[in-house]
Amino acid sequence: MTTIVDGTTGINAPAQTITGVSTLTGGFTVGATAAPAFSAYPSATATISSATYTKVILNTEDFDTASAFDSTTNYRFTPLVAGYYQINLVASTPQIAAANTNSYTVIYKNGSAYKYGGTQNSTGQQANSSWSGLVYLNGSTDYLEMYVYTSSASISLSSTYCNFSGFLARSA
Amino acid sequence: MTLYEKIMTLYPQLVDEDFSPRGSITLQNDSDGKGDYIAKWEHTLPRPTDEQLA
Repeated sequence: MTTIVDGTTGINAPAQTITGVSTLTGGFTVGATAAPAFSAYPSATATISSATYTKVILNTEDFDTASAFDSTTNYRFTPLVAGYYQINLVASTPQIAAANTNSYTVIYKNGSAYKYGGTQNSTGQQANSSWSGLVYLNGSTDYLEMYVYTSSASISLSSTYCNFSGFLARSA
Repeated sequence: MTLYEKIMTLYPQLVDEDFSPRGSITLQNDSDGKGDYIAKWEHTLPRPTDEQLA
């Protein structure tokens, strides 16, 4: 008897008899849907207007196991598996010019701001903001996008230090 | 001049907090080529007209 545990296909076991407990006649499969995971980043430095929530053009993928991330048109993650997703955002800007600059990375769910990760920096510092957490997605229409915000004068968002990633932590 | 700069020219009394996540004004750019726009205006000051922002 061989039971296969695989991160992509789940747990697969053949029909078997477990002495003294029960008889499994048909075998079973648990979690047999490929678990989406992705990581994306912008290919070029982007200019962000002051005090304006701006969607990050994430047009380069490190990986996208379920083809759930759109890196060509809308730059959004729309998985087709319902569940709770671990989502990670990080953005870094070059040295900022204004004191007490507030910077945020923002996860948008279905077009509206959902969660914020913020930081406040002084003149000459880099502004590094991030957010990580679990987000429920319904596996059909729900989608996530990454926005950034700065209260400073218009700045450049470094492509090297900007990333949006996530994976299915628990199916619904 | 950005949308934010135009609004600040009209209403110099506005502060950073008005545009922050807890503020009453949200400016947004969806990176779809349409540029910056006012996504939310709940401030007591009147919402600027298109003519004022042109």
